[in-house]
Amino acid sequence: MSDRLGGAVGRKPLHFFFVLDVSGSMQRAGRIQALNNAIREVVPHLRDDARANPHAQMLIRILAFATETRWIVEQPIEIEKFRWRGVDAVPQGFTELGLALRELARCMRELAEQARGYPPAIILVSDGRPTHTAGPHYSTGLRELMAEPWGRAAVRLALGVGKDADMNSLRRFIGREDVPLLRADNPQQLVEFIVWASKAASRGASMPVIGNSGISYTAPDAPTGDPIWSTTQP
Amino acid sequence: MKPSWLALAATCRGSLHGPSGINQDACATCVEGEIAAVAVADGHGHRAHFRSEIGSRFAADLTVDLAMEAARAASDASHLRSLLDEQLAPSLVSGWQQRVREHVRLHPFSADDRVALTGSGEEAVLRPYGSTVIALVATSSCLGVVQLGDGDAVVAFAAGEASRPLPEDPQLDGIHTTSLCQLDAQQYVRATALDVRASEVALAFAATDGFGAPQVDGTGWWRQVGAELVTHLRIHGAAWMAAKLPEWLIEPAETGGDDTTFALLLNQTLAE
Repeated sequence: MSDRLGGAVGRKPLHFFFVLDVSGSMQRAGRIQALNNAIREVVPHLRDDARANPHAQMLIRILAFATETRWIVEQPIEIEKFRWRGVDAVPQGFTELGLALRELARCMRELAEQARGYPPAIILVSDGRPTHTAGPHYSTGLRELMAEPWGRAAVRLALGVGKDADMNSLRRFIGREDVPLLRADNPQQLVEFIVWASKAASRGASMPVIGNSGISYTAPDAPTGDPIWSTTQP
Repeated sequence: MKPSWLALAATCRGSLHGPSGINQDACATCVEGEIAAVAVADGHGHRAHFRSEIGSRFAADLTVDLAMEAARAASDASHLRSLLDEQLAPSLVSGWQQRVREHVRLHPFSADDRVALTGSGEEAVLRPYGSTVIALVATSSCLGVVQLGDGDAVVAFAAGEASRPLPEDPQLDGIHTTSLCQLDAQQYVRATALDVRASEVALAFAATDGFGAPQVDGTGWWRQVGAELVTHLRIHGAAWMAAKLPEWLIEPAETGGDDTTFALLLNQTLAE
C-alpha cells in the first residue's frame, strides 16, 4: 500500500468550449478567416492563464455548427498541446444553434457524471439569427442546456459578428444582464473580444462563489477600425 | 463489545493561498467518556467571504458542542437522528448566525471590507463568514452524521466496505455549495444516525472538498479511502493513523490548491 491515502490526485479540469458559427454567412467579408485568426490569437493568452493557475487543467474543445454540428476538437485537449488548424464555413449552411446547444447539453451531462472540475466555460460566436430547419428550435436547445446543472453553472459568454448577429438570442444564452455582450464589427474587434471573453471565462470559471454576485465582468475597450461587417453587404 | 471511540482531525492549508495565506478551513474534536464528536468546516474562498476562516471556526466548534449535547441525550440511533434534525439543525444555524453578528459588532467592517460586501441586509452581514460544516458524533450504540454544504461524510464498516449515509442534496451539483451564510440554511442541513453495533461500524470520516475534489476517481475515491482506513486501523492502530493524518493531506492540498481538512472517528475495539 502506498504512503498516500486513497487513489491518485490531480489538477481539477477546467473544460473550455468554443462554439463557433460556421454558417454560410460566415463566408462573407473574411469573417471565417478572421474567426480562425482570432482563435489562433487567443491560444497564447489562455496558456498564460493556465500557467498562472497550476491547480486547473485547462482542456479545450471546439464545436462548429451550421446546418449540422461538427466537432472540430472533440476530445478535450490541454491548452499547452492545442494547435488550431482552422475551420471552413459551410456554403449555404444554416445557423442551427439549437442543435449545437443540444450537443453541449449532452457534454454537460457527461461532465456531471465525472463529478469533478471547475464550472465549464463556454464561448459562443455567431453572426446570424438561429434557424431551426434541421434541428430543434434555439429555445429548445437552450432549455436542454440549462436543464443540466453543469450547463447552468457554466460561465457562458457570447460574441456577435456583424450587424446581423441576433443579440437577443446571444443575451439569452449568457443569461445575465450584468455580463457584457459584445459585437465585433471588424476583424480587429473579433480578436480583441475573443481574447477578452476567453480570459474572463477562464477566470470566472475558476473562481466560483455562492450566487452570481461575486464575479464581475468589465467589457474591454473596443479597438477602432472600420465597421466593415456592419456597414457593407458584400 | 461496546465500541470505544477515538477522535482525530487535521487540516492543511491549500497551496492556492501561498506560504503566508490563511487556512480558511477549521476542525474540532471532543471526547467525553463513551461519546466522541468531530467536525470539519470549509470557509469559502472567494473574496466575498473575506472572514470565512472565522465562520468556519464558529461552525466547527458549535457543531461539535451541539452534537455532543444531542449524543448525551440520545437513547438510540432513532432518537439521535430526531435530536439532530429537530434540535441541532435549528440551533446550529441560529447559533452560528448569532456568533457572526456578535463578531461583527465587536469587529465592524472597515471601509475596505464594505467594498467587498455583497447582498444586502442580514445576508450582507453573514456572507463574509460563509462556511460549510460536517460533523460526526458517536456513542456506544449509535453514530450520527450532520452536513450542511459540500464535502464528504463516509462510514466504513468492519469488512472494509463504505457508504455515504446521508441523502444526496440536489443543491450540491459538484460546483455550487449550500452554506451557513444563507438565510434559509436550516433547510439544507442533512442528518442521519445508524446503529453501530448492528452494522459493525469501524470508523467514519468527514472531509472538506479540498480532499475529494482533486481525486482523479471523482465518483468512487471515498470507497477506496474507507477501505484503506479500515486496513490501517486493523494493522497499524489509531496512534499510527494520528501521526499519518497530517501527511495524508499534503498532496491533495498541494495539487488541488484548496484547504484540506479531514476528521475521523475510530472504533478502537477494532484495533484491539
